[in-house]
Amino acid sequence: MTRKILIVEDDDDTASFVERGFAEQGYAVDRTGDGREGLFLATDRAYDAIVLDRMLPGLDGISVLKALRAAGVVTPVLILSAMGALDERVRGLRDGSDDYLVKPFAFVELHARIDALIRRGASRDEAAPTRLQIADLEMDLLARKVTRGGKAIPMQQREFQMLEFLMRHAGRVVTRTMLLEGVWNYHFDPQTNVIDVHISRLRQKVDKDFDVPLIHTVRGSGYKLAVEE
Amino acid sequence: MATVGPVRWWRSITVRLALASALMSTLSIGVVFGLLYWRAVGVVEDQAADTVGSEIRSLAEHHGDSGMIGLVQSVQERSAGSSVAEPVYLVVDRFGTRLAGNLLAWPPTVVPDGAWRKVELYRRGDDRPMLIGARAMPLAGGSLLLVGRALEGRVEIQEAIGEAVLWSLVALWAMTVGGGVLLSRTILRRVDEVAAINREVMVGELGRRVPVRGSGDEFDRLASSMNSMLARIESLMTGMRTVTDSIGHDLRSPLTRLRSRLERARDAGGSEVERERALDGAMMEVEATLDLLGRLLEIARAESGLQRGQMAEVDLAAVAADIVDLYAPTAEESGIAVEATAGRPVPVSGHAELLAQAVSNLIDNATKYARSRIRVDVVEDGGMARLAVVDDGPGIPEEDRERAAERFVRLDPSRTGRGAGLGLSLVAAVARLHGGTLQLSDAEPGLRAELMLPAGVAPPVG
Ligand SMILES: Nc1ncnc2c1ncn2[C@@H]1O[C@H](COP(=O)(O)OP(=O)(O)OP(=O)(O)O)[C@@H](O)[C@H]1O
Ligand SMILES: [Mg+2]
Repeated sequence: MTRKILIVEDDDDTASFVERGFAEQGYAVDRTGDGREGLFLATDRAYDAIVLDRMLPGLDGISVLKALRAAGVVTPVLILSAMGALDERVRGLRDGSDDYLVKPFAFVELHARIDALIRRGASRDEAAPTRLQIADLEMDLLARKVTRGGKAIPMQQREFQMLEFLMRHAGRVVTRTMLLEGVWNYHFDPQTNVIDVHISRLRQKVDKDFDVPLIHTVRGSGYKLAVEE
Repeated sequence: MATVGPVRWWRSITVRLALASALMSTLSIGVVFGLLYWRAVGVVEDQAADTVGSEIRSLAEHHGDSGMIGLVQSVQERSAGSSVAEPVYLVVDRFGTRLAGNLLAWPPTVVPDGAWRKVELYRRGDDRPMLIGARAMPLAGGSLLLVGRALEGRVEIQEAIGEAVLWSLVALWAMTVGGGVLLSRTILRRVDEVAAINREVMVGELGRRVPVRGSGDEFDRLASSMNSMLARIESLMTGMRTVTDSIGHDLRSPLTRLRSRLERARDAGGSEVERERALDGAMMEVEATLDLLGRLLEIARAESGLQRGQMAEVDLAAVAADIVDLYAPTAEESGIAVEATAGRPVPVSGHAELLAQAVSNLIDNATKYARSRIRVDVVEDGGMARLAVVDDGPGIPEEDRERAAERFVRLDPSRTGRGAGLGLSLVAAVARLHGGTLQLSDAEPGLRAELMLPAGVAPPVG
């Protein structure tokens, strides 16, 4: 099933860059540069996710978002905003966006986030799982225990949270900032490779003693938990 | 923009204040002197009533002792002596015929019952009525005796007090006008001084300051608060200029490198590997440039104070613990142990994200410079939340500490390749945003970087 995505962005270069990126990934993309039209499209058609620029002619992004939510449209929305506005993120999330990305961004980052949003949107109606499993890696969310191939792997809290985040996004790219947000709940850029070191420690525990590695580095963007063929 | 012209004297607040105070003083003078008059008159009259009372009693006794002849004689003696005739006497027989005294006839309103009365009477040889306080009593044999005193003293008091009132008013108004003029001239001069400085600042002389006289008066207070405002404006403007200058300067080199890499990629002449390498390099330059720009904008935003609206209660100890947790593995990789004293919560009113960023910048520095250990302490102490990141590296020499937190300042670029010299600038900006400071000191050996913020969740001032 092709996923449908709406891009509301008035800057032509950014919009076509995003559009091309998603099209290459096999998405069906609609695109508009006008807030009103974006609102109209978003209420009229069923999209899997919406990429919404904050600054738009006609109707600004936040107003579009509020109008959408007021109309009962629950489609996941990712807001794009200009850089240097770390604090606007909070406002965007409060006004009903599901994620927030600062321009300029790498397409992999946007893709990973949209991917995660669609996945989350799809699983919204399912009951919250109590167990996660990828290959022989199992996680018991209630007992907070991890086993691989039946062997228990002792974990500290952060390691557990990181692994849980990766397992919930299994098969998808998870960027470093997504990990920082998802596990530490901070959004700034830590400058150094702090996340990489955490991942390599996690790898020590999850992959070291096993033949098949599960945690993979995706060059230039982040990590992925998957059974690679 | 409204121009600040000279203040017209009638518009001057001092003149208006002086007038109001003069009016108040006039009123209180009226009240004080009125009371004084009322009391003085009362006292004089009471005295007269007493004197008259004892005199009439002694005369009546005299009549009892030595009969009418004796009385008439002593009344004649007493009334004869005083030509101005302040005391008043009259003795009449039971038919109303005058036997002695300086009154012509018995005043019809005076009843001989011994009570104190005030009557207007004509004395002998006087065509002006005067106010008399008198007592009268019957004597044995049906004759009547009247003794009185002129209450002219009352008029004198009235006149004296009236004069005093007049002169005090004259003095008061003279002082008010003189003082008001003097005051308003001094005040106007100081206001004009401030206004003049303002005009100079407005045309761009950002270094000008209002003179402070050191007297600690209201104008000094106003002047020093204006001066700190001006200093802040100046530092913001200088900051802006530095940022624009440095952005210009610091973006030029990565952009130039970027350009040359892209040129190389374009001209790579078929070698796919070379082209790819050039493009990767260009990508890295772009990332670095964007990163730099983002950090500069973040500092500028923290400096602007705009985020003060988004402060909430933040536990500084929890933020520090999170960031320690985030950085510890990285530090340990390079053989540096990170200790954090797990303490009780230290609530501050703050911006969690920026505080986290600030702490991570400090720990990032410590990780770069520490030899073997980093310690992170968060305590609340005397109304201040103090977060200290201490390392055992080379530290920063005393003379460089102030400079270290300036933008793009890297004290020893040869030591560590990486870094733009913006880390401490953001920390300092975040500290200022929270109404606090960043202090660098010697940890002997190493650097102690301490973030001091007002503790508690009250909104920070200024
Ligand atoms: N813990 C420390 N020990 C010794 N010197 C330090 C320490 N922290 C900072 N400095 C000195 O202060 C300078 C400024 O620090 P700052 O964090 O602002 O910039 P940076 O670390 O060089 O670069 P950036 O933080 O932008 O990556 C550093 O270049 C270094 O010379
Ligand atoms: Mg630094």
